[in-house]
Amino acid sequence: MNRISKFLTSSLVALSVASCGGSGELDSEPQAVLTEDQVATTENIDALVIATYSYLGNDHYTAPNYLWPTGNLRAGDAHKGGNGPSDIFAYHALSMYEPLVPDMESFPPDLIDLNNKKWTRNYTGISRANSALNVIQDTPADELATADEKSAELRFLRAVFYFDLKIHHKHIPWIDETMTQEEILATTNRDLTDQQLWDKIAADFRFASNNLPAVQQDVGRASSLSAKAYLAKTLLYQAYEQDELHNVVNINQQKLEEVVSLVDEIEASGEYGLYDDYAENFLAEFENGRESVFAIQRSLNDGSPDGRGTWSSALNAPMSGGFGCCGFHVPTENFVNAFKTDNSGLPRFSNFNESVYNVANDLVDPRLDHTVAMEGKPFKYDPELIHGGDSWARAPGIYGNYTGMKDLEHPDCDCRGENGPFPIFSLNTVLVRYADVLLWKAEALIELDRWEEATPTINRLRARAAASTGRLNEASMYRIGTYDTFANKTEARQALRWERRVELGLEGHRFFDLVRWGVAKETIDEYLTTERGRKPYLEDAAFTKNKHEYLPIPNQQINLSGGIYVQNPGY
Amino acid sequence: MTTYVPRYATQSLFTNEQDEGTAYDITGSNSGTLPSGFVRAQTGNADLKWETSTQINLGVDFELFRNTVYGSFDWYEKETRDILTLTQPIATLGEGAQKWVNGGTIENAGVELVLGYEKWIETGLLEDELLVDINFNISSTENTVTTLPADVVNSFGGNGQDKTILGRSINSVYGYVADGIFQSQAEVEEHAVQSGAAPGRIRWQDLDANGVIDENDQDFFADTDPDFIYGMNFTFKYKAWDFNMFWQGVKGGQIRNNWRLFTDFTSLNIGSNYGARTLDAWTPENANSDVPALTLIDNNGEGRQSSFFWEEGTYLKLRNISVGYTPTLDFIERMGLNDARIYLQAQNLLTITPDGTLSEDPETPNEVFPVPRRITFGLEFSF
Repeated sequence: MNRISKFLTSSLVALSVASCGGSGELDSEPQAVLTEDQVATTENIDALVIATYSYLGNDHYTAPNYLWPTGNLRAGDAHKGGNGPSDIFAYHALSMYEPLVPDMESFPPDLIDLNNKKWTRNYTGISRANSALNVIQDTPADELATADEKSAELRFLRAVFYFDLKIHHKHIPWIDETMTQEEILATTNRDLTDQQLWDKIAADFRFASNNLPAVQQDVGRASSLSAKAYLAKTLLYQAYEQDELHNVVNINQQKLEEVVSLVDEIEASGEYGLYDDYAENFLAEFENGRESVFAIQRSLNDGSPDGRGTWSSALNAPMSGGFGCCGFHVPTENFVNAFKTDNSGLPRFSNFNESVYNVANDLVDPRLDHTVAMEGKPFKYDPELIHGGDSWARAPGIYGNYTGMKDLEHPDCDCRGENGPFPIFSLNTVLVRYADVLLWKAEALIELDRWEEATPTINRLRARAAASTGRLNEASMYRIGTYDTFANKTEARQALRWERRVELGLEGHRFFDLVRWGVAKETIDEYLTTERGRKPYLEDAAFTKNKHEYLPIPNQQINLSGGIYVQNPGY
Repeated sequence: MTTYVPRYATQSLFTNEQDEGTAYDITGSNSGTLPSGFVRAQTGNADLKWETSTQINLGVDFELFRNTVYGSFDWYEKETRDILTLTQPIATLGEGAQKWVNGGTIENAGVELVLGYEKWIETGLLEDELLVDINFNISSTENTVTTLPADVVNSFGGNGQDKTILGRSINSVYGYVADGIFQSQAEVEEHAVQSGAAPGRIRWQDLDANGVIDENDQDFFADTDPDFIYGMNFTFKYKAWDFNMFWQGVKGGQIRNNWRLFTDFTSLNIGSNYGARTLDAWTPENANSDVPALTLIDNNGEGRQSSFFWEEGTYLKLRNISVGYTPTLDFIERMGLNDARIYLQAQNLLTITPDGTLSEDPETPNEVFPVPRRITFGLEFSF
């Protein structure tokens, strides 16, 4: 029989399929678990608040809170870059539009639906806020002197996560701390209307602005002023009322008035200002300075396995010049051309994109050299570190060889960390910058037909840009001027929208601006008409109006909802 | 009961393991130990119990003709119930909603057959007796997921509605079905609307026949379970000589050949070394190729999970072959030895695969190093 059992071995292998996987769970002792009662102390509640902040910084290039993929790639400001289309196909799809489908799980190389991943991570952040709010509710008031303030911070953070979901997906399930598990399972993404969802987000920011101190000791915390800023941003988005197919059908004047008065209050506080040099927004040395209204705090050598650095940008460094990976996020020609100026230093609105930018001939806004590194020009203000063009790029034949710079620091910065080939930094990710806040007000004023009041704000940013050449090593022919007056609303609007593109370029806002204004289709079509001649990978790119303004609701979530979630139009 | 656990930080780098910790640099200090907090723990399940198996096994062992023919036959059916499974909860339930549940039932059913023949034979041709010892075994097993609770039915692929793992093998693969290569613009136009379609590109089957290629055109298209596996062992002894040969094989079962990402595409790993197959890529003149047209720009999503990368895992291997010589007792004693043998042995000398197998070795289709072929010449002495 010995002989037989020897030859049976190969058959027995097949029999041991699917035995008791994971059964060890039954025996293991729970580790240091705290019950809700035990957590409910003043100190622990702040620990739960910290845990909620933490989720802002737990992001990653596959689900970033710096919105370079969805904000920049979809807007024609940057190409995906990296090693060709299949290198994160889900982001290639953002540049092409048509491949965006409700189920992206089969997209290489991850075979993970990144749209679903980001959705899920936002709801994880929301659940951290909600469970902390639950603990506060169950805590006797005399044990928690700071209940309202902590609740305000949590509602602020919850609203930040919801805001992200809202601008990506439009129709989302609203889950708050009052809901039971059964109620959550019965909640669909259409229980509230588009406007009602904005109301919910605005209510959280409003509560935060009413219950937080104007200034916080800890620079990373939300304050009454940063809540006011987010409230203004929310109301600005809400003011552009959309129909079911995302067409802007009305601009709500009352909401715009409130945007103006909120920004007035923020300005009057004197807490914020513009840096003298635009560069200081993108250098770790100056982070948490006066222009940073709310930022994700990044850190290194902090006891975490890889450092809580800018994982969201880990792919975006060039292939050379002190880095080695991975050449993602490549600015487009169209974007670079937007910085060209005429002899009076104003944008070349009508003919900016006729030819590719030529450093020897074209006058430019100095903000170009803060935003984009290109062949022959210094990288991050260092005259010794000259961008090498194709030799710095990953797939120059497809995407060209520009490098976006705002989310990167100098390779020798002591704010730099690394894991494998991926460089990261402790550079903060600024979610709300004061210049952005000022432009919301200018935008609201213009839409309120008070464009002459908007002119000084736009000019203030242009004057600051003009004064921001000290670090630029005279790499280009700079010419930037200010506007005298705008003849009409159309001109003012054009200037404002241009100003947002160049002032906030590559900061992850542009696509959402286009959708808010209701001009995504025409802007992207115009971009594609020329850019696909320069970058043939775009040949089949096609933006479908009334569809591609928003991402699909992830198919996995629709499935898990048992089909009660409703897919967005067109998908 | 809701519980909390402290958790400082976890991994940040790898795609599936992002940081789920709670540490945060709230003071803007950029380094050092950070304040941190608690996360809501994995949801408990008070009803959790051991999984249970029941197995029916019927078998016969037999020895015939004075033990020259022997063998056994077994049939079994094993049902494993209450298998522990981690749920995949809807995102809105938030952190810690995942829980272990006793999730469903899997059936394994199979047969095994062993046959052997062993005899010292007088051949008439040879002056001495020849030992012939031949063994054969074959087995086949079928795996079926028969029940799953609602909160785990989607943890194994499928669309969560009409296409689920139920009734299929747990080793089933879900994705798109590649249906050859578009040969012409006319074929592209005849086909359902497929974003990225062009002559030379992979055609995805319109499984739901709605005229558009989208996520609903995925299905379970393969499983990794072999139809059967088998082995054959031959031993012959004649006088001082011995000979052994062992063959082992697998019939059926699909394998994913990840090397095709490199061998069949220039778009999926730009700048890496491409395989020689790309030299035979599709062109209008080379229409019979199964390698898609070369491009640097993959707008057709050809790296997606699809049947393109899957092939039959069938193989037959000569695992071992050896010939040995044992000197006579006289000789051994004269040399002052207790025992001696001289032999030549080869392992993994031969792998036979059917036509159409692209994998170098279907047993280890995605390994960087193949199973080694080892040839040994041996002298054994014991004192």
